Amino acid sequence: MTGVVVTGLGVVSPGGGDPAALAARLDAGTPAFAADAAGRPAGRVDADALPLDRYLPRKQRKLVSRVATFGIVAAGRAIETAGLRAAGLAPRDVGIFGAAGIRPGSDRLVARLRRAARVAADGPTAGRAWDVYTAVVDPMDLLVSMASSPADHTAVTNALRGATCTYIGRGSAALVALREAARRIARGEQRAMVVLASDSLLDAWWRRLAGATDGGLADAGRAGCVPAEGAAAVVLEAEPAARARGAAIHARLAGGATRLAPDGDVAEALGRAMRAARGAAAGAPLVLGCSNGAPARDRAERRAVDALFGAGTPIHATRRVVGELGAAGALLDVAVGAAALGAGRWPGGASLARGVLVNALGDEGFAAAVRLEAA
Amino acid sequence: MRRRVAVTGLGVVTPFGHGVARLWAALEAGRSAARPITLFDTTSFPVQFACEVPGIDERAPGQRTRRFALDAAAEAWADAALPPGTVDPERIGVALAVGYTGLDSAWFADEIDFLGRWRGGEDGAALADAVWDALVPAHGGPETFGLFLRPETVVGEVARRCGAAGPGAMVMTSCPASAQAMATAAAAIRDGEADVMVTGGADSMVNFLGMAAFARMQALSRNNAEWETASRPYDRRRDGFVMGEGGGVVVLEAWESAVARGARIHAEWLGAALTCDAYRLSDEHPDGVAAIDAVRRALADAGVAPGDLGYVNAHGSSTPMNDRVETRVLHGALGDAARRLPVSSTKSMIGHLVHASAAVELVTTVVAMNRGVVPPTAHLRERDPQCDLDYVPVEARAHRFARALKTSFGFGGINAAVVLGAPA
Repeated sequence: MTGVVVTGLGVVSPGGGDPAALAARLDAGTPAFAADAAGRPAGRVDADALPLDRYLPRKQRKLVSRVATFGIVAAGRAIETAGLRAAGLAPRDVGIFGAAGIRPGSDRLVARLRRAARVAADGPTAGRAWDVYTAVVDPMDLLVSMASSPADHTAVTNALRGATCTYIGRGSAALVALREAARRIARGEQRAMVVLASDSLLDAWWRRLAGATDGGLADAGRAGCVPAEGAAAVVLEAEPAARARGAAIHARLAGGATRLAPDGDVAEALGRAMRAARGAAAGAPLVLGCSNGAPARDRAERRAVDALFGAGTPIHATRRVVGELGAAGALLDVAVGAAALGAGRWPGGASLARGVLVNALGDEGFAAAVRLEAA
Repeated sequence: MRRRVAVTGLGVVTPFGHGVARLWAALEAGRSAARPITLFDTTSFPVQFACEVPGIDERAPGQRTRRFALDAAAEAWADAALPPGTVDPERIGVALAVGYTGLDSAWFADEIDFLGRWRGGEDGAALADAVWDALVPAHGGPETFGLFLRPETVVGEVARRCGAAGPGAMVMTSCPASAQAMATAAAAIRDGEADVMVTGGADSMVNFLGMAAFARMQALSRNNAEWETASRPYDRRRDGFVMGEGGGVVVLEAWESAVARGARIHAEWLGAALTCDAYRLSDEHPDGVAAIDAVRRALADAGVAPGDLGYVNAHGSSTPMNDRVETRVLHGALGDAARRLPVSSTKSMIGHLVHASAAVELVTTVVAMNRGVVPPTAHLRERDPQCDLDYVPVEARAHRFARALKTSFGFGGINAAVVLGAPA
């Protein structure tokens, strides 16, 4: 990832869209949670406040799920803050890599169930599956529910004709996308890459599955992560090109790795990913961890961080204040870390001299880490 | 540092059954794997046929997809014959594309039956909870259902079986997904981040919800009267693609270490490119501008001139639009060389394996190159006048070649092109 820098940032989160404000919220320990219908804590985005008109043509909206709009808005903000439109790049020179969970969110599920309930109530359903289906499912539903939908829409809206791919996984996918995008820049295949990640764990069935399999979502009176929704995006460019065009450079990508856990020891895998991402750098960076309140995950990350950087090394976890954003969580951390490096300070005064390390750990059975440094 | 990448292991699960040998024998003979659907009740369904994988007991889409991925990976891993302990586990990775594992066909039937009896009002959360309570226990419980919500766990399973502790990635997009996964894997080797990558894709969309989604978009052939020959790319009578299912996995390896250990090298991964049409979500750009760019970039990445190519294994989906646009793309990207090249679509025989299609077709291309035989475009009897290339109609053809192009195009305007070379 030699010479790849972050020039654009975009965030849509329960705590708002300003990465610096999220860092301040983290330092102050002020969560951005509200109670869901059942009284459980949840990190919900104020979707009505999003400037959709700015980033998504009205005619495209019927093809977009709630969670996809978050990704599109985050990517729009990142493209805007990078000044990419004014950079004069050809469409083929800019690519987009996405990261996502696979579910389009409760809004689609519930709407489909409601429609189906109405149609099914008309009479016996045996042998009528196709009739019911055509009555309740829009022909475009397939496109709406695709994991790549946010990246595809962003590509269409912004005429991005370079490399494209969407990785999935509720832990590490965003860092996989970031690294693969950086690779495209480092090899000179693309002049700029947009990386976006969006996800929602505010899904009725996801909560039930997590509860049933001890996935660690917070229910009343029980420890666990707070499910949330949101998105983040960054723009990557080659450092010389970014400097030449006078772009605002937030941070430089200094290392990164993903590591599988064939024996199921995710702490070990995370430790190996962190070691590879750290490279030859000495000392402990500021760790933006993936701890989210789920005991097993938090213990694994603590063990990995202690083993690599020494016992008690601080872990700053944005999930404490915005909740678990699934596939978007790690990229939100990248945005927060890059913004802090760009500003040259972390709220509360923690040192950024050794850069920022962002960790990710997911259901997909592998871990990832990315290191950022001041540029 | 740019390292060479060898293909040292091949594995497939296709509508012709398990194994590369079985697939190749059927393709060379120009056989069709299409048959009436057995995996779900097609009463009232507009499409009555597909290319199902035989001999797999699992019926839930997630379980089938998982099984395809694991079985294809097992064959590829065995084929690579990597002696245990010769490669540091941290230098072995997994990059897969796994499809929208979707809800079971029986689930949808049970769901609408339940909803027909639902009298609890329109509180969305209560409705979703009630459906969960009524259906999940009867459909394999949370663990089975979890594959629908978390198909990415398949990457972890393959890693366990191959002892891979290195890089991991999981792609989910549309038809080119496994090409994107393989490109991710090849890049990791090329850039020195891994020495061995297990990569490819798996998918099972032969279920009510999977096929209904494509049927609603008018993408599937509805030629129920001629189901056996309905997948007929480039034929003027084509009316859509035929759904298939399966998995394809290859083992990619750093060239030097493959040579050093005396591995059988099937082919060399020479280069690849991905682009996006940025046109419409549902349609390809009619001029194929970005797809042309994908082919040109892949050739440049591979250091191969259009005239050096000996075969194109095309996306060739049998939809009216794709085949026409793809023909235009090959003309645009390859120039005069396009007319001299044999171009065939093996989807004519195995259907469209969606997330697995590029990987299975890449395996096919490798075998074709090594055997000196180009598989045919089956069922091509009346060529579309707008499709004017040499599509190797109906019968396989003896043809020696040392460079091949594999193209994949999909929803979202996603394009992928891969260039392979004979081992040398």
